[in-house]
Amino acid sequence: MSLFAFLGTLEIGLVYGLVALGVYLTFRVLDFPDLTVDGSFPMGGAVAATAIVAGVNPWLATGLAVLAGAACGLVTAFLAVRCGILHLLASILTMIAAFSINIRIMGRPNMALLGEPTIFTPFDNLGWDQLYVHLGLVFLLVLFSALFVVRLLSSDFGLALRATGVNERMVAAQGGSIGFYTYFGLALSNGFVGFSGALFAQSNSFADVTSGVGTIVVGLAAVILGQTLIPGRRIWVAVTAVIVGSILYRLAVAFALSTGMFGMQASDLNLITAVLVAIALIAPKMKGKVRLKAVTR
Amino acid sequence: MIHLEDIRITFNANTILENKALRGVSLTVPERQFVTIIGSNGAGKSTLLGAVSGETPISGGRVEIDGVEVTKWPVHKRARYAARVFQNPLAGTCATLTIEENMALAHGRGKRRGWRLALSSRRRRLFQERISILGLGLEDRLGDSIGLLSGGQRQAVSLVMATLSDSHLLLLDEHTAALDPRMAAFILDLTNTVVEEFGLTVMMVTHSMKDALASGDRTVMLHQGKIVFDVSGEERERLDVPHLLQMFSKVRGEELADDSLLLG
Amino acid sequence: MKKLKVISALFAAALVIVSAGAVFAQTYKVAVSQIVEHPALDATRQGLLDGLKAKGYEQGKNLEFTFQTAQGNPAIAVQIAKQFVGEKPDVLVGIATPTAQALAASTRTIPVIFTAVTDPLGAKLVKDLEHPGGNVTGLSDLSPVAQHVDLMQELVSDLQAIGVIYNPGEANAMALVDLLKSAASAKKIQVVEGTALKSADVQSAARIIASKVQVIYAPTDNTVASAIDALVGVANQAKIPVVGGSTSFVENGAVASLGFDYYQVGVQTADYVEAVFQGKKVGEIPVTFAKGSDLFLNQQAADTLGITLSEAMLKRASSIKK
Repeated sequence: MSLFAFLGTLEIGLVYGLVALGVYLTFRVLDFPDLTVDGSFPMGGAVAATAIVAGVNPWLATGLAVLAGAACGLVTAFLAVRCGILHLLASILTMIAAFSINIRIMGRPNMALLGEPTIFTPFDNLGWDQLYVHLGLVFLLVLFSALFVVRLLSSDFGLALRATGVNERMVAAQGGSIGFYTYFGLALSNGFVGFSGALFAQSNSFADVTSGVGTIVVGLAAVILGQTLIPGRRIWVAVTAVIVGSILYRLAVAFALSTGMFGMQASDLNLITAVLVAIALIAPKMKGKVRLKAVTR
Repeated sequence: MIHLEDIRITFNANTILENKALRGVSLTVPERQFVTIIGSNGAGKSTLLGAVSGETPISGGRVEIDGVEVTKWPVHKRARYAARVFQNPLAGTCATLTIEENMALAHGRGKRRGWRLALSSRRRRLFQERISILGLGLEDRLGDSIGLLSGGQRQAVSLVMATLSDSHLLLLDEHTAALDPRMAAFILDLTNTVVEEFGLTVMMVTHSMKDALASGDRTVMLHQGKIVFDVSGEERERLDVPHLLQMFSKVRGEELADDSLLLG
Repeated sequence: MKKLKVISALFAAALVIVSAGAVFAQTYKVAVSQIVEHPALDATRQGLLDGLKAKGYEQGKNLEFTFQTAQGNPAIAVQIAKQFVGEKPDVLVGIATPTAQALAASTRTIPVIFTAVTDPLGAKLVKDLEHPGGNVTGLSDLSPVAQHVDLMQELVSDLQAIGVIYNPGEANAMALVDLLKSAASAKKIQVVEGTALKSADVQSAARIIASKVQVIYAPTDNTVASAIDALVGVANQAKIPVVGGSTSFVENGAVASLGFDYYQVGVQTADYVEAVFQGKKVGEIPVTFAKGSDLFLNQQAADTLGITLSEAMLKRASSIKK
């Protein structure tokens, strides 16, 4: 793999690290299986791209994208908490509705940002290598997001949020409103996903409604991969793990893309990615077993 | 103070499974009183506690806590007035969080939960101090996941947690029922100590007549959703378990007689 | 005699070395990124490969042809773009909109040739069709929608309303429908839209609009293409013809189709790639629209619906299904 491809992979891994962070918040912290991300990711991109093309400052456009993502989360929470719709179904409803809304927002299914100003533009003109600049800026933004999540989950508020996913009855008995924490958690999670979508659109110069398909799969794979390879209950470990998981997932895709020489067809990509991720998940266990065998001998 | 007025609770109303769990219960528990509640299975003991905590929606009547009407309040809003310990030790604590995190959660009961760190060194000292009363050595294990503790230990921590915030109301729902006899005795002792020390107002549901008479200063018996007797003071001092059993069977006998009269 | 043999042997050896050296010196690297594996897009790629071969660039000899598909996922399209750009090929080829955008966003130096992109201006791949300027140019597969409207008018006398089924999630399809609307409104013909987000929805979408229109237009939309049988079925029940943007639709029962052979689109793309090989500046190669749309007719379907195919049409047609 070339340096260019490697750095590019890191960048996409970090951008999707925000999705992993969101999925971690819903699936792991809140124990709420939320598929809204398939809609909030392209919505983040759609809102950011549309706003930028309309002349809005790119940072402000990114902020709007975060709000749009959070709004998706609130809709899912409303359907689940207020209307009592099964969590999974509530999120699916938001997800499919978001598809149509995203086309409405852009007025078309694909919106290009080539040549438009983005949050990266001011740094592009400093004369540094664009690839490093993008990677560095994305890294900083993901780092701040991760620090925010770690600090939030360590607060009084965050503690109640974490307890909500484990023991609702106890949280209520301690004065916490389950409904409120569900609203907040879903909004926060999808806000991060919208943020990710906005970064993706600006870094790659296009927003596309189809970019949402399978976001949840990638996010879940990142969370599971990361937490399997970097186990630990501490919050900062878990948050680091899911972001590392996202990068590893993208590396798996990149390696799958480089396997052309082994007689693999282009269409085998998904299969190879799946196999690589499976190996990453199984390998540590195998190592443990081998060690165990050695000990028992 | 807890004031219950003509509480009626019907489960599965207008269905074949309709069950009138409470049929007009009125009860006033003054400040610093410790009421024990007994009754056979299905008498409505836990349902009554649920009416106070808000966990069981009531079909009729009025609930007041400390002079505030809370009849329509959800559970989490009422939590600022009352701490609870459940029968199931798993229900009252959060298994994946540490002991100190559980305590921090309880410390925030009834307060606004904000951005402040849940675990400051000041809070840790407070938790250590409070939990050392138990004499279980848990003060050195605050960072352990509470899921590692036994059921009895978890109930003990739950009791300490109940004292961490300002409220002075304690609702105990058969909180020793799931424990072995030795642990149950320890928890009951601990309960009395805590109630004494913090001057709490208590409603304790129990299935043990002995415990009901040994603890507290008033005993209420429920039967088929109604209070069938309510003793306190000297009258209660004179009661012992055989007496209580006698009264219990008398109540049931009369009920039967009533029924047969009706049928006849 | 002996001397002569030696000399000729030396000469032959030298020739081999020189020619081999020439081949090595001129191996061109082309990297092709395709959004999804789909008959039309696959045909485009094959056409490109064959077109290059016809120009003397043969895979395994003087051409290194790398190909990846993003399996319909734009994030993977981006990864493919990074991978390709890192390999520094001579030409990058993006088949369909998102892959072309991902390539264009990843490099400002390596030439990017797009193909099978309906609306290169809308996709911001180029700022100007005549003078692209940057490192990106290519071939648009914009359907001759105005001609489609003419064709429909020829088929249905006194045409008042055209129905169209498409997936609003496809950039290509949206561009076509916009064109259809402007072409139709110029002729005071109403357009009734039916949308289908997935192939399974095509049938019900067609049912809803069938009673309100005199003809159904099937654009080059991947979703509609996958469910063309269902669409034709509904149209037959409603006794109205289907006119398509892809010639393959006639095989499935459309009365008439006017469209590209995507293999030929690929062959035309090879011209761009060759121009880059020859050192032409990408920014100076204008964007063109795919040429050679063919009229396919279906006599059998026309007879069933009681539609007469005019003599003029039959003459123009390059294929008539009987």
